Amino acid sequence: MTDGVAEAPRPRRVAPFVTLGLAVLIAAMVVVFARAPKGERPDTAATELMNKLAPPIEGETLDGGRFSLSARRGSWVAVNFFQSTCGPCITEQPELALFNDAQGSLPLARRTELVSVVFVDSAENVRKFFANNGGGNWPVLPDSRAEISPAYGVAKVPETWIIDPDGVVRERIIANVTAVGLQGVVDRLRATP
Amino acid sequence: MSTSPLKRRSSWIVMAALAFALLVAGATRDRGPASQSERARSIGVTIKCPVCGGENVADAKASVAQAMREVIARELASGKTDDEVRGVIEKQYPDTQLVPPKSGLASLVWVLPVVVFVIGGAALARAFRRWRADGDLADFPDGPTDDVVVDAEVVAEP
Repeated sequence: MTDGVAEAPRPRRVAPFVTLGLAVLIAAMVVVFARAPKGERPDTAATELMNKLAPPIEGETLDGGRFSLSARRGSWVAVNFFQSTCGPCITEQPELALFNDAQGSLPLARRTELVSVVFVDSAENVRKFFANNGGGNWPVLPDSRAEISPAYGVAKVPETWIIDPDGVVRERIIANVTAVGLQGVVDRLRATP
Repeated sequence: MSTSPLKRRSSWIVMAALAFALLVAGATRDRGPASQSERARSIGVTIKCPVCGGENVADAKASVAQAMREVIARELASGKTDDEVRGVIEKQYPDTQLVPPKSGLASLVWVLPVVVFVIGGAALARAFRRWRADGDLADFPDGPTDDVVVDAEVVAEP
């Protein structure tokens, strides 16, 4: 105190604290957004369905027959998802035909049943696809109501899933397969309890 | 011409209350029952197409988006609520929800903007109050400001 006059109180400086607080909040938001899932298809074939009962696959086949995965209990089943306009599917198709033909020469206990599920495509396109690329002499399900592929979480084709004799998902392959490669995967799974 | 601080404060309170009431009325207004296709679209825009680089399912052309739209329509037709349908999609196609979850770390996306808004509003209110207080305390030590002179002239005019 000087000259009997009270010194005015210095105003408290709040701005630096507010700025610091906002900076922390913005940094936290950046962290949250950076950690947010990108939603793109993962490069991994990991699926929550692994080692669980496979979702149902049943319906009318392209040639007017019926197919039911649950009726195939006791057999290994390879489920291939494809589309007629997909390049890798076209490349893969002759290999699937080779794989299916080879099953006839295997002992019954080592055979694998093949089934194809059409991924959002017309029956006409699919028939042309088989006529041009071979195969299709196994059950082919149109899935015109999109009931099968979403249940398996299929976002891109081709995909091939291996279902064991108990109806349990044992493998998901998210690339195009070869006849030898697919047989190798099934043989490996058979050997693994 | 000056307005009393009480009157000034009351007008701010009335304006704030009015804005709040309009906001609540707008947010809770009954728009009538939405059609199933409207509901399907409103769900589709909140789900990311997994292979379309950021497009939502309602607008994307990809086959998977088409399949997902079929699922949404089918689940709605079966009587599921919008949240239940989103749950089905999340189960089949994980990590495709565009609306951040309301729990966990991601819930900060909802909380932080509100916190920033409140802090910003409080800081502004404090700054305004201090500026006004500074003006009152100064008590025109160097004579009336130009504004006061102009006000006085306006009042003095016949």
